[in-house]
Amino acid sequence: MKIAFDFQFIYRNIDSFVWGFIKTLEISLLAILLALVAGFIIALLRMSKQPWLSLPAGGIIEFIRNTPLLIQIYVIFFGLFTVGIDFSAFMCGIIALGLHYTTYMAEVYRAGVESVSRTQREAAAALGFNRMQTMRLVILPQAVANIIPPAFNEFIAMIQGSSLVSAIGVMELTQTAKMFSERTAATYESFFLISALYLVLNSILTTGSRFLENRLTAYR
Amino acid sequence: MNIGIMPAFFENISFFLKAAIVTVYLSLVSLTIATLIGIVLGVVSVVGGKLLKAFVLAYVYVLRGLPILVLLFVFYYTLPAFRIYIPSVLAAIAGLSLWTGAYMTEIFRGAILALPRGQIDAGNSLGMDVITLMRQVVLPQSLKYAIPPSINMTVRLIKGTSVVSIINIWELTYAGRQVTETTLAPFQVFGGIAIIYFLFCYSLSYLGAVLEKRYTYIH
Repeated sequence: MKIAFDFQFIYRNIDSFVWGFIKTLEISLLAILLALVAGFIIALLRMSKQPWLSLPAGGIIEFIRNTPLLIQIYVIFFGLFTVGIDFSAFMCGIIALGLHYTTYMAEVYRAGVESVSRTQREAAAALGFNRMQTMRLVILPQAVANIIPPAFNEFIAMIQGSSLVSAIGVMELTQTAKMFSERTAATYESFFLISALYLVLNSILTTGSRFLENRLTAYR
Repeated sequence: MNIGIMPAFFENISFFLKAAIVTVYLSLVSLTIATLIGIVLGVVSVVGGKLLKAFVLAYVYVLRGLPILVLLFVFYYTLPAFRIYIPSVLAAIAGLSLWTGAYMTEIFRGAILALPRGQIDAGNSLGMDVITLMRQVVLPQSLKYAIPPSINMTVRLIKGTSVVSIINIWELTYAGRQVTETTLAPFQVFGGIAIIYFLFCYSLSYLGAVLEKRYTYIH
């Protein structure tokens, strides 16, 4: 048996893989945006002193974190359709991925805020800052350095999670490789290529995270 | 039987519980293999030679960098291209174990490095060989650092088993898709299945959080 790596195959079909790569980036970036914004709101609700705000937020966070992403993708994709909302698979994928990681981001924000020393809060109170000012001027600027590394870990997890959107038929990177391995004999070329692309994205984010972390903690 | 709430789920509850057993089975088998990989490679990454360390580093880098679905597809689609035919259950277990094993390696490496260096030095000065040193001195002590993150990883593994439905393994998520196709009630079916996953995962997460608190208070 002869196994030869067919570079010609990749060269001939490079545009399909580039489209898949762009789709993966699109899904991940939009979901990251959604998670960054919605995660912040959920985190604020979770940290609220009013139990009627913090308890439901905590419940939602725990429920979504402890159920599989794939189930959530199916619920949104099949479920929205049965109630008459006809979103594309692409949109459903972004919503599901974004909502799943919203809860992870909420916990990242919360851990970051709670890592800022109590005395900072007390000092702000002594200076007569209200809650909003304390958060905006004292807590958040210090929390950012603690939020960046775990947030980037979630971004990496989201890029990996975006592969599950292939289960509802979105032609992103994983689905592209799957299609080629079903239609052609170039299975390992396809998977070698997309694996390399995922690893490159992974490395870029890891490096970016380290760079930002060093910049933000330079004062320490 | 007359059930008011979520009929599409509760009418098929015995079907789902059978499927849940498959999910538990896949999780347990993969967890066992992954823990063995984690212990062996974790030890190697601390005491091994340069070449072995580089191998472990590469394994962890690649396996943690790839989505679990891609790993499953690699076993499911590319092995047959090399004329290696394995049942898809084996492909699923291999993918899940190697993926979890990479995280377990990091967990055990961290747990071993968390021990005071003097423990290893003391063992060495008593003339212990590496295996005795690890088995009798290092691993028993580092277990308390390894257990809480391992439990959190187990939660990720259980959630990860849902992905094997994509390579046509009949487990909880696959059963959910089957019943959705006949009942056309995705909210009830997947809502109910989510509750089953939640019961497993939340109880483990809770245990992990409790243990984490206990072991961090000691120090």
